[in-house]
Amino acid sequence: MRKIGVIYSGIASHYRTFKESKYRKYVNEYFYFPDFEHASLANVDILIVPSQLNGTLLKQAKSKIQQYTEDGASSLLLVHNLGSGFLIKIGKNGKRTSGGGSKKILRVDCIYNNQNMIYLLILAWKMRRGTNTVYSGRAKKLTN
Amino acid sequence: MTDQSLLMLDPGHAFGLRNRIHPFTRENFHLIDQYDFSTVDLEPYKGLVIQEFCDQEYLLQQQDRITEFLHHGKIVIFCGHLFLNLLPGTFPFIPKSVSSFRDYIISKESEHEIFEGVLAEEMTFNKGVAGFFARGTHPHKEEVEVLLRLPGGMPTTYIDRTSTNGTIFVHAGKDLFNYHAQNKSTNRIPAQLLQWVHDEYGRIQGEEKDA
Repeated sequence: MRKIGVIYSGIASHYRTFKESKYRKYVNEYFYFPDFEHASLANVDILIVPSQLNGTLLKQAKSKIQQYTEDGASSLLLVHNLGSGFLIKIGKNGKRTSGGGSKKILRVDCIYNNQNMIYLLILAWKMRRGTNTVYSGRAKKLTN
Repeated sequence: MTDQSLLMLDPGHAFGLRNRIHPFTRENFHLIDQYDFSTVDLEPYKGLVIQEFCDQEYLLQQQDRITEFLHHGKIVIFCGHLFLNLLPGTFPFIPKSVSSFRDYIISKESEHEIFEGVLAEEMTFNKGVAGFFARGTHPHKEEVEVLLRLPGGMPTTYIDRTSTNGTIFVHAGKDLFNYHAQNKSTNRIPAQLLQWVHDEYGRIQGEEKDA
């Protein structure tokens, strides 16, 4: 079974989404964001990078997250208001706009709230290896 | 002219960019990245503003500094949903059970300078939708001054003057200093809350001198 890791930044919405008991079963490992730089991602197959992260720490984490996806693992990035090109270059039509490789990138619009996050976690669990999914923008049903 | 006597912790996330650069914020607060809080000398500040998206795990590590700040007769403003007891006398947020938009209707407990001239209906509804202003409560001690409630008597906004020597303002919703340019009476909140902080600080310091 694939293992899901989540970057957790100690804010209320992250806590309610990822750490409350009803969601905990979907998450195998939490990476507290201030400690992320020194954390090992070796034990997770999928990394969820939520929105609302501290920008300074995110810049420091950028290369580590990019390296993680380049290594063939999977990631979910909730880039709402971050600018979708910051972590992984991706165009409006869902095609990757830079970089090579054969990784499949999906893009599904969503809203970042607790109702949808449960579907997001299930989606993460079902993701194929090497798939990046970028969520951004306004609410739509979470399907791909 | 800027006033740097209020310290505001900036969560540093992308949602906050507009407010971070807003003239009201720039002119009335000393804005720092939240993770710099541990190294800041708090002595010059009257108040501390903890925004909705701040890292509560980190602030819990700084709990002693926050409590000491309050014990010196200072003011802490918290807006958001507490899930850790990082402020004296506070308890974790409880969301309101809702069956219709009417469950999010805001009412004033009494007229208070912070919400003077602000229509309760305009706090309740934003672009016709209820629930943006506050969606639940932080349980509190009996001695607090409740300012706003949801139906069923659930307090959303209160002032605690008894847990410490200072004052704790708690609002279970979005940052009240960020209600800018909504073209309705809620625009009054940031300036009136700011004035209240300065007045409250003066009151506390006056009481300390009298004691």
